[in-house]
Amino acid sequence: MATIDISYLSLGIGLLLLLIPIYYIWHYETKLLKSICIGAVRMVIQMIFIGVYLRYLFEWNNPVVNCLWVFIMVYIAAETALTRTKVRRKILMMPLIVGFVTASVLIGAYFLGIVLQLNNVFSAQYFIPIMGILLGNMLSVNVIAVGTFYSTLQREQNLYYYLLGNGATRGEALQPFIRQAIVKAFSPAIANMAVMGLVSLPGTMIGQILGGSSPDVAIKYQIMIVVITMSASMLSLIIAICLSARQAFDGYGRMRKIFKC
Amino acid sequence: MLVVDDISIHFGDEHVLDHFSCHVKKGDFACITGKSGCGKTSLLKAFIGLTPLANGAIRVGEYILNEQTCNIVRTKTTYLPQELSFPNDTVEELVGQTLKIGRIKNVQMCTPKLCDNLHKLGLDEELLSKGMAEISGGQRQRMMLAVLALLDKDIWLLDEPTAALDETSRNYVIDFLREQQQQGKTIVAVSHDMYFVSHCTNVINLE
Repeated sequence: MATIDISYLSLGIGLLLLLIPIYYIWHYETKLLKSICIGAVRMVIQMIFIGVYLRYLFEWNNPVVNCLWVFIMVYIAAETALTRTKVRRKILMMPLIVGFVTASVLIGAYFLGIVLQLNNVFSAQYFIPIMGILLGNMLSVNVIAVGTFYSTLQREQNLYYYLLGNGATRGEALQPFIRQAIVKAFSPAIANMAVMGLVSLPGTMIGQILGGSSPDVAIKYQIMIVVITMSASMLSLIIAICLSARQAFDGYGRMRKIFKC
Repeated sequence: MLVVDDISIHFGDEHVLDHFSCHVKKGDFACITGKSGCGKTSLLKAFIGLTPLANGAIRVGEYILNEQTCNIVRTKTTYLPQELSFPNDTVEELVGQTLKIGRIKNVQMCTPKLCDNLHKLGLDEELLSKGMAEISGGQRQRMMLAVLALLDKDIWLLDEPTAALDETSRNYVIDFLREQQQQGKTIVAVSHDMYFVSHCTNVINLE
């Protein structure tokens, strides 16, 4: 059963629905008007380009090109996280890249190689979408968690210094802040996981069903997608926080300048 | 016990302290006093390496404070900042967390001692079952002293321990700290409360 195509005219008609959030954003003077308009335009342009790129990536199906493509995605994700968290490049850029690459490689290889048992884990059909979904989730979790971690640390540095001054190691003194960051970043995902199938029918599953897969296959993929995105997000987050903390404090454990001016 | 040798503390162009020296003997009940912004808190934090020094050195016991020794020094100090917000929901959680950083594993063993400390500071042990949001600022300050006393550290560094306390509560705190001093603890407190200062054995005036 082929999926019904959406014509460009129909897509344009569909996009009109965005007028609803745009109206309320404008009406309540939320200052998000510019962001949502730029975001919507960017989304359309980027998706048009990705359609073209993916066509070629799938045609070539070359492991080196696929890996290069994923590395470009990692770099863009790290740049985006850096911009959104406003943490200084010197502190956060490398830890984010290391976190994203490590988590993508480990979790991606586990899923593609062990769970799906693919002969070629670099097959564009699986490798590119799986890495894309992993990176998308890692990006949102890292933006929330790293942002929360450093802004809470900055705001409540007395607590950090209290713990340090009473004999805690730097790792122990950072624990309450890491805890808060994890809670804030993972609570929505955990809540969502708990009602999946009851309240929400998630994107991957819908996509597969629309693409002609049977619901049996779609639910198995969806379960695995939730599991791998959560694991990769946590792994990348812990790596990013632990590595960036090495740059964020001096030899005495005092906080350096964390945020860009 | 604590020797400050010709230190300067600069924050950018602002020179908070210049070529300042002082010392605190073992068993002293010392008070750092002076007008607002003269560097009292910065000096207190410098004892545990939390304030960068432009020059000079600080010795704590047998250790010259530096990047290698600061962690050892901090295992011998109790530090209570003036303002502190806790992520803990309950007082019990806070006690557990503080004992954990003090490497005290048997929390049950500490309960009688903690209750004793709370009574000495004019507080009831019922406080332990309350939420952090339910207790007042003054109760929180005294409770922190009661909890930190369990760590049994040699050096106490306290930032304004009697701020926001009424006269009765302030006397409880002074008596409690003097008792700790008599047990051999060295106490260094920042204060601009002249009544508190009058009870100290060593006054370091930064004015």
